[in-house]
Amino acid sequence: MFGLLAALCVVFLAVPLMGLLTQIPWDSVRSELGNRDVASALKLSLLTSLFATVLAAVLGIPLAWVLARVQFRGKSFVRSLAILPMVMPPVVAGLALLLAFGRNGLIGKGLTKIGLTIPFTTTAVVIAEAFVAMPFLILAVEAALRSSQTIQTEEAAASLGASPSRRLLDITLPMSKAALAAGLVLCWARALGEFGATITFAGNLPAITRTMPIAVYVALERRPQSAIVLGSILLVVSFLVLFVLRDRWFRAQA
Amino acid sequence: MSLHADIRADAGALVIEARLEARSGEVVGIVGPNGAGKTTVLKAIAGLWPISRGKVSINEWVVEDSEAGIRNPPEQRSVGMVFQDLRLFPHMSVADNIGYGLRLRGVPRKQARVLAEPLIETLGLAPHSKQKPGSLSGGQAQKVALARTLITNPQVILLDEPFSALDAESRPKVRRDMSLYFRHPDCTTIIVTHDPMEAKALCNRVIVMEEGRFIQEGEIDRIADDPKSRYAAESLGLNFFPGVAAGETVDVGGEATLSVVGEHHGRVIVSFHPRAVVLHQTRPEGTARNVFKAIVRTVRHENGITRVTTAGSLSAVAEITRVSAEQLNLRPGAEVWLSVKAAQIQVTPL
Repeated sequence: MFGLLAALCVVFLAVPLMGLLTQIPWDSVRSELGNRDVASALKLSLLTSLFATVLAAVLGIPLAWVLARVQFRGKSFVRSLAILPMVMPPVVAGLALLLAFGRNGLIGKGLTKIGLTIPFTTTAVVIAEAFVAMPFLILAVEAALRSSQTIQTEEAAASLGASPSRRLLDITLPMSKAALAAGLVLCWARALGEFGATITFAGNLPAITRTMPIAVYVALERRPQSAIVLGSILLVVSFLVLFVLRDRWFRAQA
Repeated sequence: MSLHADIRADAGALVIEARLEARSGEVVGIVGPNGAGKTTVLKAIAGLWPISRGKVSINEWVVEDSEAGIRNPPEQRSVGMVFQDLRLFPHMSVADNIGYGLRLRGVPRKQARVLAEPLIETLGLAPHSKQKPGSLSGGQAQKVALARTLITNPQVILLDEPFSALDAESRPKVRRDMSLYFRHPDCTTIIVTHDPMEAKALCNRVIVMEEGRFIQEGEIDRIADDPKSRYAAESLGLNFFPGVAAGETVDVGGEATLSVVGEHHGRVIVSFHPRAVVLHQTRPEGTARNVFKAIVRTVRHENGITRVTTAGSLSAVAEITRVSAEQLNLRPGAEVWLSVKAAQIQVTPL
C-alpha cells in the first residue's frame, strides 16, 4: 500500500516535468533564444537575481551572525521576521513592498520628495527578489554559524592570539564555506524564480521588470512555444542547483 | 609569582571557587573526578569562560579583575590552551595548524613553516605535515594540538588531558619532548590530568579538585600519604617510585630493588596499588622476592579499610582490612614487613 502511494507520488512529481520537456520545440529553440524579448528577459533575470543575492548577502549574513552569536531580547521575534517572507504569499510580500515604497508609503513618501521612485523599476525587481529570497540565505548561514565545532575552533584560535576579525577570516568563514555557498545558491535560485512579489511591486514592463518567470506567464497567452523554451531553461537551472547542492543534502542523510 | 588566579565561576549547577598561584617554570597538576570543574578553571584563566567575580594576573599583569572592571579577551592574555577535544583547524594542513600562532604574530606563511619544522620533526609529524587534521590518528592529532600551542611560547600554558589520546608506547616520549617546552623557566604550566603517573612525571605539585573546589594541594607524595578525600586516595594514593630498570629488576634507590615482570631499561616509574601491599609482623617465609622491612608511620581507619604509611628502604602505603590491621597490632613506630607481588607492579618508562 505504502509502496503504491510512493510510486504514485513519483508519478505525480514527474508527469508535469515530462509534460514540459516532451513539448520542447527543438526546431525553434535557437530562434526563440535569439528572440529579443526572450533574450532581454533572460538578461534581466540574471542581472536582478545576482544583485538580489548580493543585497541579501550584504544584509543577511550580518543578521545571521547576530542571530547565531548575540544574545538579546526579542531575538525570536527578529528571527521570525527574517523567515516570514519564506512562508508569506509572494503577492502579499509584493503588496507590502508596494505600500511601503509607493508614492504615499512609509518610506516612499520621503523618497518621492527627493525625487526617487522605486515601484515599477528594475530596482524594485531587485528589492522584491531579495526580500523573498533572503530567508534562505539567513537560515543556511545562521545554522552554520551556530555550529559548536566552529565556535570551539574559534576559541582555540583566540587562545593562540587571533583577534575577532582574524578569527572571522581564518576560521569562521572557511569553516562555514559550504553552508555559505549553499545559502547563496538557494537564495539566488529563489530570486531567479520570483514571480508574485515582483509582478505586484515591479509590474510587467518589457526589458525593465519583465523577468523570466513573468515572461513565461505572459508568453503563455500569445506564444506558448516561447513559454515552453523559457520554462525549460528555468527548469534546467533548478536541476543545476540541485546538482551543486547534492553533496550537502545527500551526504547529510548518509 | 607568575600566575595568580582567584576566581569564582558558574558552570551550570556547579559553583567553582579556585585560588591558584604558580611560579614561572613550575608545572602544576589539577586532578579530580569528571565534572569537578577542572576544565572550567582552565577556560576561566584563558578568558574563555566568564567569571562571576575574581582576579587573574600573569607576571604581575592583571588580565582580569571583576572589581576593577578589567577583562582582557583571550587573544591578549599570552595564555596558550591545549583543549581535550583538540580543536584543530580542519581546513588547514598540519604545518599550517602548527604555524598559525606564528602567522598571527606577523611571521609570513613560508617562514612560519620553516620555523615549525624542527617541532614537526621532533614529534614525528613530518610525513603528515601536508595532510589535513581529519586524516590523522588520534595520537598524531594530539601532537599537532600540543605543537600549535607550544610554538607560540605563551607565558602560561594550560593543558587539558594533553596526552590522553596517545597510546601507552608513544606517551612517555611525547611527554618528554613536550616537557622541554613547558618546563621553560619563563613559563607557567597548569595540567589537568586524571593519570597519576602523568602528574608524577610532570608536575611539581598537584591540586585535588572536587565539586568545584580545591580540596587539597601539595606535592603528589604528600597527598598520597594523607589524602583528604576518597578520590585523592583512589587516584593519587598509589605507591610511586622513580627508579632505574635493568632487565627484570628496578633499582628505586634507598637500597631497595624491586622485581618486576618483563624486561625494562632506563629511567622508569614503578607503581602499585596500596591494596597490593601485604603487611607481616615478621619476615615472611617463602619465595616472595619483594620483601622490605619498615617502620609504621601513620595508621588511619576509614570504612573498614585501614591505610598504613611506612618508612623504610621502600616507604610504601598499604591498604588492608581493619580486621587484619587489628591482628597485626599496627601502631606508629612499630616494626613491620611488607611484600609486593611482582605481577602487581606497573612499570612506566619515563
